[in-house]
Amino acid sequence: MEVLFLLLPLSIVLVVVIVAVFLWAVNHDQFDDLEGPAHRILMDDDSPDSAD
Amino acid sequence: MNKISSQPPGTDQFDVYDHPVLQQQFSKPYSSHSGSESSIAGVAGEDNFMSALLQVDNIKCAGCCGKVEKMVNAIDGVQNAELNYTTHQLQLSWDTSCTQISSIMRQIGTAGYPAHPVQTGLTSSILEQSKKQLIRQFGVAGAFGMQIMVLSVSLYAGNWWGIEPVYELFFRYLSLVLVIPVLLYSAQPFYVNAVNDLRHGRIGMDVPIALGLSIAFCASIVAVFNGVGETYFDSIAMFVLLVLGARLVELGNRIKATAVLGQYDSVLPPSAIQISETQNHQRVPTMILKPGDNVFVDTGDTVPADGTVSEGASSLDESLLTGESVPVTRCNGDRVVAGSVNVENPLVVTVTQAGSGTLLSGIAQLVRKAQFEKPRVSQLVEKITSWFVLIVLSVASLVAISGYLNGAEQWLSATIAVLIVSCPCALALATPAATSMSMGNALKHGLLISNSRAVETLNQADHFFVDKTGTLTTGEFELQHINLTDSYERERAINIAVSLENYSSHPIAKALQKLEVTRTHDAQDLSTQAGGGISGIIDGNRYYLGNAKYIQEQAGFTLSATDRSNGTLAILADTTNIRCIFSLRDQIRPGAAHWIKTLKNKGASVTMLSGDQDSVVASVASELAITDYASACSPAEKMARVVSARNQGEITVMVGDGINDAPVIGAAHVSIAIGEKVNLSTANADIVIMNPQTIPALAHLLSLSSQLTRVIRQNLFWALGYNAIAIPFAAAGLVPPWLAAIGMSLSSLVVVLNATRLGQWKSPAFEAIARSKAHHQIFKPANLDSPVTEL
Repeated sequence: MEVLFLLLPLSIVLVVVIVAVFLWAVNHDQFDDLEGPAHRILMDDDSPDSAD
Repeated sequence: MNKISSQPPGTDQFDVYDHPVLQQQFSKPYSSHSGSESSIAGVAGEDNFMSALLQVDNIKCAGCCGKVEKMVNAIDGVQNAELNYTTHQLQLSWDTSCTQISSIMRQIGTAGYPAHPVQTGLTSSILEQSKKQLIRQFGVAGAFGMQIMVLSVSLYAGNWWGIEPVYELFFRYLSLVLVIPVLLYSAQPFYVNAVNDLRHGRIGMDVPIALGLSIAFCASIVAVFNGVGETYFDSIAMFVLLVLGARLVELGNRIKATAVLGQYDSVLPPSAIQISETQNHQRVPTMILKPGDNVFVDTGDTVPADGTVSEGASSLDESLLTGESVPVTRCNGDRVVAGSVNVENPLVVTVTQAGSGTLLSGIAQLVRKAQFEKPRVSQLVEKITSWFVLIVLSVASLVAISGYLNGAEQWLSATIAVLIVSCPCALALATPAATSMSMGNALKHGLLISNSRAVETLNQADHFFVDKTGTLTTGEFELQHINLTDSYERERAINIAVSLENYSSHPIAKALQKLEVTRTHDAQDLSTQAGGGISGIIDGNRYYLGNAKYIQEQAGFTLSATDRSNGTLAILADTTNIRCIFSLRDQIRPGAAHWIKTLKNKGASVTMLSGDQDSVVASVASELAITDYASACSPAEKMARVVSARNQGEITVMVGDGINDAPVIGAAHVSIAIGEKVNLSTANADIVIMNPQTIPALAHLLSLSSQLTRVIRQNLFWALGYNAIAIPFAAAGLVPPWLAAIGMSLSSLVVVLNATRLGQWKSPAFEAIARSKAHHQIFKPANLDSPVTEL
């Protein structure tokens, strides 16, 4: 089970990467509107001209 | 807004708020005498009092609220300061000759609570920023916490089935490394708040949390380095994660509540198109619009100020003010209100009220005022909370000392458990969360609550006094017959009647004003008697126009029995005889009968009060199955009835149209005004119904009130019950710290989520009546001219 000494620190590195990605997402407004996108995809935009 | 960023160089961030132009945006003159006289603008300006709304950061518990309030009130020159826990907004009034807003803000800031004035969009952006920060902290705690849990499960399993010491030690060290970012980053708010509290000699909700976390961390480090004893890394990570989760939900709720209120702030466009005398269109800031200006409102634009249409005709969406989403038609001469959206054709509007004088601004102020009046329960709870934290701290130290002296094995984990398991947050959030959600709900339904206590009281009401005209009926009269006596000329009768009523806004007057006149007379010496009629001199003759009682009292003529037809009568008399009888008919609002039935089923008594004559009132009463009614009441008689019911110990509710009933409305415990014609600043009502679907809105209000009471009761029961059970168990050492962490965060989450239900609450009554009403409207031809038949 000596491999644990390698794998567990690796998992920590992985967590740090996950956290970095998460913080990037928060800072780039990915969490600002958690409901809107779900509805928006259902709304057909019939007149492309009015999209602005 | 970009106006704020133009900060003069060489001043600090607070001094800039003393700048008169900027200050104008968030503060206004305030009368020190009494709230009711604040409408006299001139007086208000003279005594140098200003009031403003500040958003205060870093408030985490009801305890902090009281502290900040006390501190601000102690500042020299501050007249009154009230802090709302739910929105963290401070309503402040101060004497500009003693102190400046910058110095007040600076003092609040140095105490650890940064404050910013509330104005366009600022509140929501600050809340959004704290939400982002909270999400970051929550995410970090979650990611690292997961790793810690994996290691902890292995350690627990190792305890059970055996583990090689080298792996055990390795796992513990790894957990220690992983918990550090959680404590340093995610748990930061608890420490910051606890330190702020302690530095100012007070004890807030975060003190036991910070203390528990520190003790658990220190004990765990000792255990890791000594190789013996328990580690609590998993409990720390889980606790931080769960409490942050609960705060995230609560903050989300608060953002939603602020958004409902904020819609009144951010709805007005920053600029408007002004039409100069030379017919030039120029874009000017909305702020500088003044009465008399002409503004151009293009299709899709928002009306920037209250005014009247001077050119064009269009449909306007007034849903923000009334809750009614069907656009209303407005043409030349009609009133338009700031905040409504022009959906059809371009309009030219002559401004009658701009800036803080608009109806919209009045609504916003009323809504805010209501938010600052704390419900009775909430004031009590605030006191209990600060005592509660003290008790928790004493219990924890008792457990620690006695456990240590008796050599109990579990003393450390029991102490940590007590600190963590107790949940003052649930107690502190129980009422404010529920109240603010229900007010948001009410606003969505076009119900404007200016006194949040009223909603609480409404649920206990056992006697409803309801005005007939304009409340149970639409208040819009149709002329049915014109009955002339003594071969008086019809044309002349109409001319005189219309001239008398020309400037009156009474519903009967409005119906008469629709009549075609051949000639308008100049009426002199006009005198009106509320609930009676009007008299004036035209061409040297005195005329009286009013109900039967008024004519009898003033002119001295009695109607013959045959003239007392079924319907509302307006009788025109001169000094010699009765000349003409106008009979009018008033329509009963859809759903009124059903609503009255619901009230009676709930066990409340209903009394209908009306200034109308007996036959009309009786026919409406029988149609609505109201047995208790009074006809031909003057406002004073109406008031006497309400007061006598009140004296008999009944909780009274008065529903009236807010014009004739203003004094009566004030007499009841809860006053509800129908807002169609009400002037918001003078209406003395606790609740104003802006929704044109009056009866469904009333029904909704009642069920919302009982739902609010239920939710508050559930929340308090839960918070008190949870703490009463959890703390003794924790003190006895029966609750391991990880379980305490789950229990504490769940209990505040339960309270907040329970309150969230109120925001979405839909009363079956409202839905049902609204649907049937909508049906009605579709098939009802609009604006038919009333047929006038001559007898």
